[in-house]
Amino acid sequence: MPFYALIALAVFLLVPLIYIVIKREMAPLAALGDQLKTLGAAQAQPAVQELDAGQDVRGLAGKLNRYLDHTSARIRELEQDSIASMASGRLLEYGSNKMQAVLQCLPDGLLVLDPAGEVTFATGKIEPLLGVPVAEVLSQPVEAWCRDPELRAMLARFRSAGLDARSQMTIEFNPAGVPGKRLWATAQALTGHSMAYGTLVVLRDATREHLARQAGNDFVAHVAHELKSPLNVIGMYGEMLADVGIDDPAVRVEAINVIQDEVERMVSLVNNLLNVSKLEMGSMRPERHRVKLDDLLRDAWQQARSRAEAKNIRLDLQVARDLAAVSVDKDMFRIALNNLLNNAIKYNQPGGSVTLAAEEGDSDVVIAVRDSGIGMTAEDRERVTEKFFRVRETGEEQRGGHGLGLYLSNQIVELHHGRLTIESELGHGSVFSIHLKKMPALAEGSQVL
Amino acid sequence: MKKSILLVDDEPHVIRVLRLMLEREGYEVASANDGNEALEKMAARRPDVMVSDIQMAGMDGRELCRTTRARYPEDSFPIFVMTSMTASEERAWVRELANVEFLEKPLSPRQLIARLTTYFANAATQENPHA
Repeated sequence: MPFYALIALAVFLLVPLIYIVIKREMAPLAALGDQLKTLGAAQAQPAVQELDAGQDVRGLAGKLNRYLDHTSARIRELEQDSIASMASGRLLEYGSNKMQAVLQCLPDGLLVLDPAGEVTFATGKIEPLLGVPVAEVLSQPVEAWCRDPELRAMLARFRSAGLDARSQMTIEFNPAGVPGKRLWATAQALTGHSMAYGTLVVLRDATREHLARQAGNDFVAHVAHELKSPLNVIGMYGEMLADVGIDDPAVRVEAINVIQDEVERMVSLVNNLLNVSKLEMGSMRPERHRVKLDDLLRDAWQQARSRAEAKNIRLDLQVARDLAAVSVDKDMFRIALNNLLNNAIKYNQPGGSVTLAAEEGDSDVVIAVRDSGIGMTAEDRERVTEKFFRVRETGEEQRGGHGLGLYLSNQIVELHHGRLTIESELGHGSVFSIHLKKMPALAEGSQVL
Repeated sequence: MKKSILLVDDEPHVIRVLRLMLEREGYEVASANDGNEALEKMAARRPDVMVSDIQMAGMDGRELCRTTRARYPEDSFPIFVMTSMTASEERAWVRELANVEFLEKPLSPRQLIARLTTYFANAATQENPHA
């Protein structure tokens, strides 16, 4: 019994001792656990406690401690790197988005083809240019979406020619998907930083250039034709004058008259052409001065009289002496007025009349050229001030205008901020009226040009 | 018998000069303002030669030539067309038709007379080779 009691006493004494020893040995481990917890909570600076070394567990704890030091330092470094690379990533994304926006905003449509001929990039502008949406184009070979044989052929030719950074191929064509458009397509190798990215295709809207070129060609053809017709007549009458005119005085007179008329027609065409060219180049700027209208009108009337008389047409003047002054460029205004008077005489019949009149309203002065001539339909009246428009002539007599006179008159009146109005009825003559703003009356004794 | 020429042009000056000079050479001259009038004149009397402008209001020279050849297939009298156009499309339709030739504008009446003289001289030789 005392033996058991002794053992019980020993156990009773040893248990707390062992507990104390174990607890002491475990203390650094507990600290280590705490420390790991702190790290797990991603605290920037874990407070590492100085642990006792010397014993085995303590040695291990010390090593772990140093390892933790390294690890947390490394984590800090990585965190900093990640922030930096995130920032540079955002910067790159921003730059790339900006470049995309720049490419999308370009007026030209862009396509990039990979070496196999598939589209890897396309800007939205290709839709209005080619009539094909971007979604239909991307990741597709050219043959799958391109409805323009010219473009397909050019790209095939470019591919077979091999990628050469310096060579370019350009074609001009009418896209099948957008009627009325004219495009330039240029293919070139897309290279840079010693890399080949495929083929860059630039599509440019050339409709305006095309139309301008066409208008230029039409204009030259038209003018050449207008000059050739009187030349033809002059040439023929010249031969007739030489061959027949020698023995026939009547033929001689006729030939000379016709040649003079045709020369006059050519001179007026050339003058009007020069004026139209000045007008369209913008170099015809009215130098406006205060002008006494009745003098200007009287001059124009005087000049036109001989032409009217030659055609047996009466030319009347109904202009009051004390007409209000207007602000016009005298020389330009004379061109406008002469063209109206010439037309009124030309599109008239023998025995007819032309009246040049001017009336003063409250704020306007209206200069009217009235004729008893052939008149025109409402349809022609709408278009008669268009460049090169000519009323289709029927009947025996051909008057041979060239479609520039009224265009020019109208433009000149508009340059003076005035209005040209036309009243006309087929077979009953026409009235062309220029409406101009009146100038306020001057004090007595002021100088008027 | 006088050889007859039909002139078709909407420019009265051209008709006037050609008529005067051809009549002086001893030709009988009829004239028309456009294709329709020319066909009427042709129905009344078939000319030996027709000289026509191309650009005319109403029926133009191209249609006139085609209609003439279609209407009188057995009688392919020469047609001279006057044109200031040297475009190839114009040459093409002229080539399709038998016995149609170009006269370049500006037209010289003397050249036309020379062409007519040559034509009628050749035609006379072909008709009567032993003459």
